[in-house]
Amino acid sequence: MSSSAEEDEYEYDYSDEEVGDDDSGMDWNPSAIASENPNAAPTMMYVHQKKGIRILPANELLPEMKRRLKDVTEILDISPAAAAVLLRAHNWSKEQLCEVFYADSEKILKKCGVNHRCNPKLPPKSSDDNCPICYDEMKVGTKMAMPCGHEFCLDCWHDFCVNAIKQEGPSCVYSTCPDASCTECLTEVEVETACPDYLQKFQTFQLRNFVQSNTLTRWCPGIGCERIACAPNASAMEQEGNVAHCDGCCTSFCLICGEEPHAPSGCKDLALWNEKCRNESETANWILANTKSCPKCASRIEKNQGCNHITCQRCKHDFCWICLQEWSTHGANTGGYYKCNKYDSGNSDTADQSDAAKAKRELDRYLHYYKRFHAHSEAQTFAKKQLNETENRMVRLQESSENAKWSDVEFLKTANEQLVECRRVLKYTYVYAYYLNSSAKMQKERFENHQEMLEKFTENLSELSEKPLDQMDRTEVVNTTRVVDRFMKNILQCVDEGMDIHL
Amino acid sequence: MSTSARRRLLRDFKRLQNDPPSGVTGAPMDTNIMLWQAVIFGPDDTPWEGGTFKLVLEFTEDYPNKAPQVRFLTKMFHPNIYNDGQICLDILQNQWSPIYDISAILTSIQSLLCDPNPASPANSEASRLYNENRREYNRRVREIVEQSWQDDA
Repeated sequence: MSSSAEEDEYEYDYSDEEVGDDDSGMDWNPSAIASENPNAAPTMMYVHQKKGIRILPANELLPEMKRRLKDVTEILDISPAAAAVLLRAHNWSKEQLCEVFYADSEKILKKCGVNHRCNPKLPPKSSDDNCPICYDEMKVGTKMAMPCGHEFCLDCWHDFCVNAIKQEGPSCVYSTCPDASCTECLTEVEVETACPDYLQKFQTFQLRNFVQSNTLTRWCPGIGCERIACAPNASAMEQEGNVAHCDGCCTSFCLICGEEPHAPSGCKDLALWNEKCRNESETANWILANTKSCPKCASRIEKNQGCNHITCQRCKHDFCWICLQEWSTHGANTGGYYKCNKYDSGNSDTADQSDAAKAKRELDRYLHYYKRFHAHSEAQTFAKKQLNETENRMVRLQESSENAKWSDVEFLKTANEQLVECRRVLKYTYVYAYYLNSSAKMQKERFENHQEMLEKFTENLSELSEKPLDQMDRTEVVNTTRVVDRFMKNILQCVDEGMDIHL
Repeated sequence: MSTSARRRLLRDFKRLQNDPPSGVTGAPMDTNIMLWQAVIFGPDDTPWEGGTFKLVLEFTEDYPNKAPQVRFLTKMFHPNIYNDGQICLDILQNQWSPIYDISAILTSIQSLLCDPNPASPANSEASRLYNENRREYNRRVREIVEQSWQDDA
């Protein structure tokens, strides 16, 4: 690709002067940068004008990558290939790189494998002119060396590069000279000469590395999706709760960790939780067999809807799927106290301080949260499935009543979307609660109250929206949807504020 | 069929015959140049002295850009050798370079025998004894050396 072709290809209006101006301000004022985000480039220059998180096709990030390469090439007076290697080793942050470079340039050049590239020496005139890899004689014009001077025949260079790109995938960008003791880094210059067919692939891996090591960008985790979420800066990212919505494959994800949006739980807690769930999965699976017995008549029941209010088909007993207690102690309309979300360690004997008893208590505590996390996760899947079928239901509902307009049945879709979101938030409230410091009693109580309310009304909405169409009460569904939305926002706000108090 | 891997293996063989390194031998199977058998002799003046240790090397068409799979056939007792004979050695994994050849592989393994790397244990018992009870470790090695003669019979 020539540089003139690039400029034509991308429709961004960034001119060199503009970039230069803006940059000089950033470059020579490192303290201002450090306050924002010390480990990453503070801003994505060309998405600056657009506010908020954007989703871009992968190749649209090339100009940003090239911009940084160009900057470093000029500032440090090195070749673009060396600049790429150096930037890669420093999270693609010019500021980070310059800092260590000016402290000890020789050390950093050696460490990153570009010492010879930046201080070239001529290949030694060796008497033995056989390729050290295939032992064939090398003639002038059929051999090549990186700036380190280790010569190999072009055929062997070709095989070496192709092998690295094919076998090592994205990490092929870290390949070094074929010579065993040499640490000089392979770059696109050699790939271009040795195997031009693979140059584009190598460059794609380079871009991938750029996206991965940049804290403001992330590949969409959607299967087969080649788009990238991109935030202009750290504060804009935070403003949107670090959540990106891919318009290509409709996946929503956390820009920081790549998981499903997980508020109110933080990325670290979620990672801990996922790790814990992987380790404990066998125990939990055993306990969470897909079916449960009716607490009254013991017939096996499989839950195939989202609502946790179960009515046994055989004995008509109403109970809660999660705790198997009578539903009358949970129901919203009975005014009963819903206390399915709290972990009550009261019944277990806390006096027993043996390791076995402690382990048992810890497992019980984990299972309490995991069961509820899992139940909401399942319910979320159901709600998503139901959402896919909603359109059919809407059509039938419209046909069933006279003079009904499409807008009269849209409430069903809104309710369903609300349900999916609430289940997701509820799911992560249990991750949050599991890691909530038990000494923060007030905060915990307040949080559990909110959680309880959200859970209660979510169950309510779930039940209402799953009703057969002839029993559908539009006003009730619309109202409950609105109420649930409020509770969901409340709990997220409560966590935000709670964290502020904590700090 | 002559591929670059096979050509290179033939040349490795020729080099091994013309310039044999001390203490190791190796040759391809009669029927398959991609499969080699080798013998490493225990270095003199070490507990390994006198041992004859058989190995098998499996190459792919990616050789020499990719290291072969190397495995001991003889039962071993060594901190960096697994029970099934697999070897934990950097040049056979991430430190591989296409300029290494078969004699380089075999001599590296030979020097690994007397110079184990306790930081990456593949046999925890051997590793523990090597660090804590060298006398017992040496005795176990001598046992392995004697066993290696019986394998030959």
